Parts: sequence; C-alpha cells; structure tokens
Amino acid sequence: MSAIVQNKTAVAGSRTRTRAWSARSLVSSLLLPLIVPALLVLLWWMGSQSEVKGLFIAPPLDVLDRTVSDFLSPHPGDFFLGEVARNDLVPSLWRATLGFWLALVVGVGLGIVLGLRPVLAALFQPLVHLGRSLPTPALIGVFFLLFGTGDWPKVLLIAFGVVWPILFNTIDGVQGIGMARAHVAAVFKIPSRDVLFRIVLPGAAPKIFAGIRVALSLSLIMMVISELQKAKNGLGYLLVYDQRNFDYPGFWTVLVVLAVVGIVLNVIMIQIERRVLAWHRGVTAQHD
Amino acid sequence: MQLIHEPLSRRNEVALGIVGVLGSALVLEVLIRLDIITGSGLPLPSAVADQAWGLLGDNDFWTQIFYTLREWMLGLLIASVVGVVLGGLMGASRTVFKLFSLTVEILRPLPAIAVGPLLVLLISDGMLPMALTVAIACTWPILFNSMYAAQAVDPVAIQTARTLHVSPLGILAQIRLPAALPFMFTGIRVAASIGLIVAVSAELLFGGGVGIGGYILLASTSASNLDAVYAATLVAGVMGVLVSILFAAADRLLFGWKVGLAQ
Repeated sequence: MSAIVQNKTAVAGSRTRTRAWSARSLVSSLLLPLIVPALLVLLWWMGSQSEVKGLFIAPPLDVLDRTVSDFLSPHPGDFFLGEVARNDLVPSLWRATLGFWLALVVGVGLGIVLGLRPVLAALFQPLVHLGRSLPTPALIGVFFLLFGTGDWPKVLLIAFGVVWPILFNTIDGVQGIGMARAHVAAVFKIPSRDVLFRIVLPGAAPKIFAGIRVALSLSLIMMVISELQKAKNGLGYLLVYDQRNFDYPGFWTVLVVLAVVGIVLNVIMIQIERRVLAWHRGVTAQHD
Repeated sequence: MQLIHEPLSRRNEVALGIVGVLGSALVLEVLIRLDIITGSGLPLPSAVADQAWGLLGDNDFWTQIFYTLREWMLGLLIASVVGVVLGGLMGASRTVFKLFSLTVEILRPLPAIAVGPLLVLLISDGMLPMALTVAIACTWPILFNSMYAAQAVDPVAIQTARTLHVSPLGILAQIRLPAALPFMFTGIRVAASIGLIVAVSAELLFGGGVGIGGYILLASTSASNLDAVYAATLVAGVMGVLVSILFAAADRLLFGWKVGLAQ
C-alpha cells in the first residue's frame, strides 16, 4: 500500500508534462481493462435474448438482482448476509476453511519431516506423486461410505484433495535449502530448533506459499464437488438444486458468487504472502 | 544433531521408492486383514491391485481410457493455443495486458467443473463440453507462464536485433519465441497433469457414463463394487504420473539447452 502512495506523490511532484501524460495513462489503465468485461457482459446479455439457448442463460441484470437479494440483507443482525448466504455460502466456506487448514497443517508438518529425512522422502515420493495425480472427485462416494454423511466426509475430501500441492511443495522447498546452509549451521553449532525455525521454514516458505496458493483455489473446486451429492446445503448443492428446478438465474447467481469468493480469497492470499515473504523479494527472489 | 541431510543418490531413491510403495501396501493389507482398522469400504491393496490388473486386461476399459485421453488432448490443445497466444500477447504488449488482465482475474477463480454443466446445456452432450471444461482449467497455468515468459525476454537481445535491422517478425521468430518457449512449455506441463484430473472429474460429474470417470460413476452405484472404484481411480492416478513423467522427459529433451541460461 505504502508503495502506491509513494508512487502517487512521486507522480504528483513531477513536471506538468509528465502529469498530463500520466492523466492519459490513468484513463487508459482504468478504461482499457473494462472493455473486455463489458463485451463479455454484452455477449452474455445477447445470449440470454437468443431464442434457442436463451432459456439456459439468465440475463445479467436478473442475475445481479438475484445475487443481491439472495446473498445480501439490510439487517445488521444477520451481518448483512442474505438468507441464501447464511444457509449455503457460510456452511460451504466453513467446510472449505476446515478442510484447507487441515490440509495445511498436515501438508506442511509432514512435508517438513519428509523433506528433512531424505530416506523417508524417497520412500514416500512415488505415493506423493500418485496422490497428486489422483482424480479426488472419484473418491467422493468412498468418503461418504467411510466417514458417514454430514460435514466430515466433505471436509476430509477437501483436505485430501488439496493436501498434495502443499505436501509436494513443502518437501521440495525443504530439500532445496541446500547443503551450504546446513554446513554453516553445523559449523556454528546452531541448535536444531533454530535451524528449523530460522533456516528450514523461512527457506522453504516461498515454495510452501506457492503450494498453498494452488491449494486455495483447489479447495474452492473441491468444496463445490463435495456438495454435489448427499448434501443438504452449500453452493455445490445449490448448483445441482437450481439446475434440477430449471432455476437458471439461481444457477448463474451461484457462479457469480463463486467468482467473487475466489477473487476475495486471492486478494487476501496476495496480502498475506506479501507480508510474510517481504524479505524474500530482493534477497533471494532472483535465484529461484 | 544435524537437521539437514545430504540428498541420496538417484539409484537409492528409486529403490527406496519401490520399497515404500510395496511396504505401505503391505502395512495397509495387514492392518485390514487383522481387523486393526475396520469399517466398510476400506481398500484392501491386494483386491484393488487384482481389480486394476483385471481392468488393464479389459478391452472395454481401454476404450474408456482412450476416450478420456482424446478428451484430455483436445482440451489441452485448445488451452495451449489460447494460453500461449493470449498470454504471449499480454506479456509482450502493455495495452493487451491492460485489456485482458481484469477479465483474467475475474474468470480465473471460477471452478471449471462448476461451469461444465452449463456447457453441456449450451453445446450438447458428448465430448466437446468436457474437453472445453478441461480447456478452461488448463488455460490459466499456460496463460500465466506464457505471459511471464514473454515479459522476461532479454530486452538487450531485442534491441541488438533491432540495431541489426532484423524485422519485427524475425525478432518474434528468432528471439522472442525461442526465449519464451521453455517457460511456456512448463505451463503446458503443469496444465497437462491438471487436465487429466479435470477430464476424469468432468466425466464423473456430468459425463453420462463415458471415459474412466464414467466407469467410476457406474461402479460407485453399487456398494459391492468399491474395489472397482479404487482400481479405476488408481489407474487414472498412475496415468497422471506417467503423463507428468513423459512431459518432464520431453521438457529435458526439447529444452535441456535452457538450463544454464535460466535467469
């Protein structure tokens, strides 16, 4: 944030010629990005008006209307969340969060242990590769059978689906720290606790974050998939339900909400990454 | 105590990997056979391996495998063309980047799998909507890698070429593309693994009984046939591993020259 502010003052402080130029570039950088989305919305609207396929395509304005009425509410008591948001969005996000954190703890923990022990890593490497390549949605039926109905099979399916990129990247990151730093630690007799928290974890952090980012977007997908069967609520359930009842505005609304959730999560992730990995840029970024 | 250890030799790694797979299967087998972990639906490794072996001898199942592979390749091809062209342009030109960056940020988080049923409604049943679902999921890694690749082309090389009166087309063919290709291929490589998972998932969720996913779908309807579900999932997973090994080998073969040059 502060970088942008500094940038702005720098621009304001420069000569008028630059200011005129920057005003034009400001317009272009504000307007240009809006052209394609506007065209897409136009295309969307035209699709909704067409005779054959229009049935399946809800008009953009209807969808916007529906999104606002379903997911927002004027009551502060409900935290400004509409009925659908409270009944479906919140449980969905709750399960996704739980699954994601479970995967994060297991993935980073196990990844560090395996990464620090080359023998263990070699033993389980093929299984990690296999796990990464498994089509997790295929196991949804099995998870219901193993863990009953309710929230747990869904949470565990999400966790199982997203743990692999975190695990894989953590192992990779820890193994990539290299012997040079290990020898330095050994020569200076740095206690293993410090080695773990000051060398291993920070050293692997950029890779771990890359894995977490993949896992985060994957957890949204797994969230939807886990709710397509045997669910009583959730965005995935809503997708199936609306489609069965030919409620296409509702269906499109869910897509819009999913996109919004994804964007919000991505922004949060970028902010966290920027804070945690602030030291990484400039120090080691070029060498990775 | 030393926390960080020397890496193992390649041969030891492979040997340990084989031991790890067999050992884990054996442990799971023993745990289930001795009723130490109980419950319905647990995968007994020997039964699953038996089923998987049976599947690989089954011509019908191979038809499904080839269906999934064709769908996957079609999706990956579409994604590669779109991703490389759009991503390359976004990386090479500020204006194109500004035009599409917001759109990309809005569309990227949409789960392809959720859009799939809509594609079925809009296009038709069959392979195309599933291939397009695969394409949607695969486009993003290719697009981003292509974009960064095009951005990272050495400006000095381009300016040098300009000074030597190389035409813009020549610069594209002789400098921009060769410099960007390895990184673009990394994107395709990442997308290939994702694509196979998405292909099977799409078949499973809205495919109507074709492909490996369709097979799993039919097998899951009867609870007694869970070993078939595990076996087909395992086959799909092994296929994914093979695909990533294949693409890694292709990467080394085609772009091995890039290793020393990478920034």
